[in-house]
Amino acid sequence: MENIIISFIENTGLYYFTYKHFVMLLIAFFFLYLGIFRKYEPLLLVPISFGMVIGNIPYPPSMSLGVYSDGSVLYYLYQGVSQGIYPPLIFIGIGAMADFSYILSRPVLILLGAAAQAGIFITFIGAYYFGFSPEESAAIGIIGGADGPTAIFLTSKLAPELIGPIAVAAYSYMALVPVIQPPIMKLLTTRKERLITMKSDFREISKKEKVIFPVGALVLCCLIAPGSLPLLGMLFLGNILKEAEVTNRLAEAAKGPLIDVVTILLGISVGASTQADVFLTKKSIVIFVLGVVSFAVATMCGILFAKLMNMFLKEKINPLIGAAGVSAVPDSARVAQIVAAKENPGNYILMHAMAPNISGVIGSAIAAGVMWSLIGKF
Amino acid sequence: MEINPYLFAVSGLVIVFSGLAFLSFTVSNLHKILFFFENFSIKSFKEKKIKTPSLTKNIITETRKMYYLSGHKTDSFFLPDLIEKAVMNGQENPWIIIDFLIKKNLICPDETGKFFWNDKSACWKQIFKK
Repeated sequence: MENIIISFIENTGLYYFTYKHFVMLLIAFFFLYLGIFRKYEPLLLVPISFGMVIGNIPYPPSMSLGVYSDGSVLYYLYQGVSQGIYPPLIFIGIGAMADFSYILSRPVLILLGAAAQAGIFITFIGAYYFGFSPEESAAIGIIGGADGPTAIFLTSKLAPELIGPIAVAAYSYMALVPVIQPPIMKLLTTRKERLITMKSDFREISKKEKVIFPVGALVLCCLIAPGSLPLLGMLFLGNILKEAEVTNRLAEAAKGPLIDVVTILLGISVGASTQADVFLTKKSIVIFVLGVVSFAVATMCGILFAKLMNMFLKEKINPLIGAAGVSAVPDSARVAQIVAAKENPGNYILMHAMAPNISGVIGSAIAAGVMWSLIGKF
Repeated sequence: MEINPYLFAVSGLVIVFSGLAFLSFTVSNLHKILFFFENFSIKSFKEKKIKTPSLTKNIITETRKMYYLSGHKTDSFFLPDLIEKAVMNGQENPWIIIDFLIKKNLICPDETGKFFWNDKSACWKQIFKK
């Protein structure tokens, strides 16, 4: 009888429960709270944080349950992350939702999306000097792109052992755009600059241009950075499904059921990969710190480049839209609008901020492709 | 092999920047390129001005459509969401309508960055005139 009781106790999760599991569960509950009650990126944070709960319920080592246990259900779901399958699928959906008219109307604003990617490369240097390998440094730097799928894709290729902390950091910072960006925006701009109004005389974009753009942009970008092909290929595929207007069913599937299903699978498996013994390390804490630095530097670079552009442009641009060059779509564009509206409620820069915002998605995918191909040489 | 992080970062950034700069340049000239190919003649390209089509055929009708598309009229909405709906419903240039709505005070922003339909705008009579 005594043996049965002992055996029963040894087969409960409680027997293996440590303070690390407790800490991870607290973090998961906090993220659930942020997602559900504060509505910070709920579509991402809720599945991720619930996955964190699943991943941090301890179980006997003899049972094959976790994402790292060969043969478990979670293990197979996690293959979509570790093999870099989910991010390109998500990009089809993003492409089908994206409207590139903003870029086509104001092509010069594409440069802001490029400038914000400087944060990725500056953080790469920082991470390298913190003792991370070049592969790990690249994976950490890409957090500054504020693009979860891109961060997961590059990490799966270069430093798969860091997917957990990098994915959680990337998605958390995307959710915290309204908290992180406004102080930086205010610090780097004067009130006069924040009050700059921009003309909203958008050029009409023909269907031909909308159809040619995804094809042309894919060829141009991927000839320069072939490593970005899996992401940009899917992004522009999704977009042409939408713009062609003859594949509406496919476009609807891409931006509806496909992206929803993949988001659930990605969220749950990324969350479950944050098992306490793997996740709660000094390295993870450093990654979180470097991640927020990367994100802040990317925001700063976008704003400063907008100010630089103003030195040459006849029609001044509001430098706040530079912050939207990080690719958290459409949150960072919304934040730029909110900060501008606080100075002048009649100032509408949202549509202008969407151009760097969308080009930031393309920019971070190119940056990931460049890092993947360049790091491979070392 | 040792890596020079500065060189790596600079070269990476240069590639990203040149890629997007090239894209920006191409996009800036896309309508000109299209116009050129449609007319097959350099001469005509120089002589003809690039046509800027009138942006809205019937802004009142389009505004009505936008109003109905927003769903629950009392709920506030994000502009990109409304624009996406409009595009999906065949509106070719929703920005023009948005610009009109803002200028005429038909929609106003709230403190969260969302917009709401402003019942007090004097322009509503004109829009819903039979």
